[in-house]
Amino acid sequence: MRQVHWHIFLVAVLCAATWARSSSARAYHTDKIRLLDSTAYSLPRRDVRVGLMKISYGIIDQLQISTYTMPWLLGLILEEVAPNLELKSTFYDRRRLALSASFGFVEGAYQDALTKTEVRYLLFIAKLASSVRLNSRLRVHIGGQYTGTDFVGDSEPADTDLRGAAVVYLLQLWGMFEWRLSRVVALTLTLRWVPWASDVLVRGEVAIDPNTGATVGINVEFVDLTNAYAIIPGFVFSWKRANIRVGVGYGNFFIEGFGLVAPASALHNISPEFDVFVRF
Amino acid sequence: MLEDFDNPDGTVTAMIMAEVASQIEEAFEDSQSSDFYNEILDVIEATIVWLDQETDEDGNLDLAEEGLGTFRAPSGALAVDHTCTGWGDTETNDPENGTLTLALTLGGGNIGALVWGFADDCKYLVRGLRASYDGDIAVYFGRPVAPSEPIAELESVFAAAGTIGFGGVTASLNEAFRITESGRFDLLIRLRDRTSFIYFFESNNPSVQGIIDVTGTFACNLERRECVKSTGTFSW
Repeated sequence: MRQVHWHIFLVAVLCAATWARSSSARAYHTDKIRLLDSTAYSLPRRDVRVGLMKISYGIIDQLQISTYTMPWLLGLILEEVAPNLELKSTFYDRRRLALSASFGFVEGAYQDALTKTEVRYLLFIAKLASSVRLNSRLRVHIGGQYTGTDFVGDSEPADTDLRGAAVVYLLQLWGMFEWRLSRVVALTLTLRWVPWASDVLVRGEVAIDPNTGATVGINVEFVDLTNAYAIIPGFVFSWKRANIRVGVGYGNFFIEGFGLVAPASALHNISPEFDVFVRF
Repeated sequence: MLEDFDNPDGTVTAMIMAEVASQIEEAFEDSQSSDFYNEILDVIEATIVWLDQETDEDGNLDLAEEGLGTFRAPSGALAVDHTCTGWGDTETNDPENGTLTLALTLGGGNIGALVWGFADDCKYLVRGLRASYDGDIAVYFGRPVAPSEPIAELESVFAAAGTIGFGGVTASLNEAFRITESGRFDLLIRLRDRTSFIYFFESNNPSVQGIIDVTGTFACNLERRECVKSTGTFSW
């Protein structure tokens, strides 16, 4: 099974490279080459982006398909790859305003070494975004994202009598200000905020006695992520082919794309963002 | 209903007793013979014992070995699904025996005061005789119950609406009763004028009976068909 997933990943990379050869090279910040992350913009038809964090392809001008690379790479390390896909549609893009909707999922599993419990997880992500071009140099992007996370633990029957799951939901809002200083350098200032996060709800099925079973649902006040935020100044450098996005801010660590948030203490209130990618 | 148990507002007279005496006798007989509330209490008790076993000395619900973690003073809910013991000589886990489904809440590690659910043709034996219950159930303990507490010794209010079976005879049941810490059986009787009173039976000696109504507590006897109030005796 792992080999199959690995082959799928390789095929995806090869396809991206093939498409890259067949398209004309594009880069630099222009009116057509626009930031994609945290914006309403998507890749033009048959354009490809291959990066450290994400591989994307423009199916048509209004529809982009992406896969995040980290779940694949982490999956290979954990010996269980995590298929994931995101569809982003820029359904409105006229004059100064663009609007988009995105839907995606990440599905995977890992083995808890301590308990020998296999934990399967599913993230489903829905986003709405808008981008406004104020002038040739300035743009503002705002959006919202809803992320549902479902973890399911499946213990070996011989070891235990419980099968459990945990669910958490997050709503995230963001705003990004973009200032193109030159055709290579764009300054960004991103604000992210979680106005609502559910408690973690843990579900489990237990055997109380031979004739009695129960489904347990427990609300866990694990970490209150409501009002988690980050303010991240950064830069996006865009050369002929290569692009680098780098920023360091203050607050919680937001895992962009998935809409997940790490407690601020996890990285000592440092909230980084980083990506390297090429566009063809 | 709970208010009715605490403050019965009916005034019992000879005429009222003549009307409800047979209902009291039947309800008491049905409840005692079918023993259905003990079946329910057994399932709640088994759940509480399980919770107690899974709770460590610091009060944490410890499900770490099951891969879910340890929960400090957990809040949530339990949906308990019990297969009834059936009418066979030995207990079997057979769906034909019927089921008992109960919902319990968890707050701060304790079971919530109210447990509710339903029985789906739940079959069991009482002193070798076939008994069954099919209908809705609610049990109220008056306060949250810690996993270590013996619930059979706690005061509990039962409300049941369904069909009860015992020894081949079935009867519809729609009653509420309270079992006090001393074991007294308090049957709530609702009157046509929407007032209510309690007819009680002492557990150790069911011949010791009485009424609690808006005027106070006084002794009664269904067999002798009379009640003795401080103002005098009345019979029906």
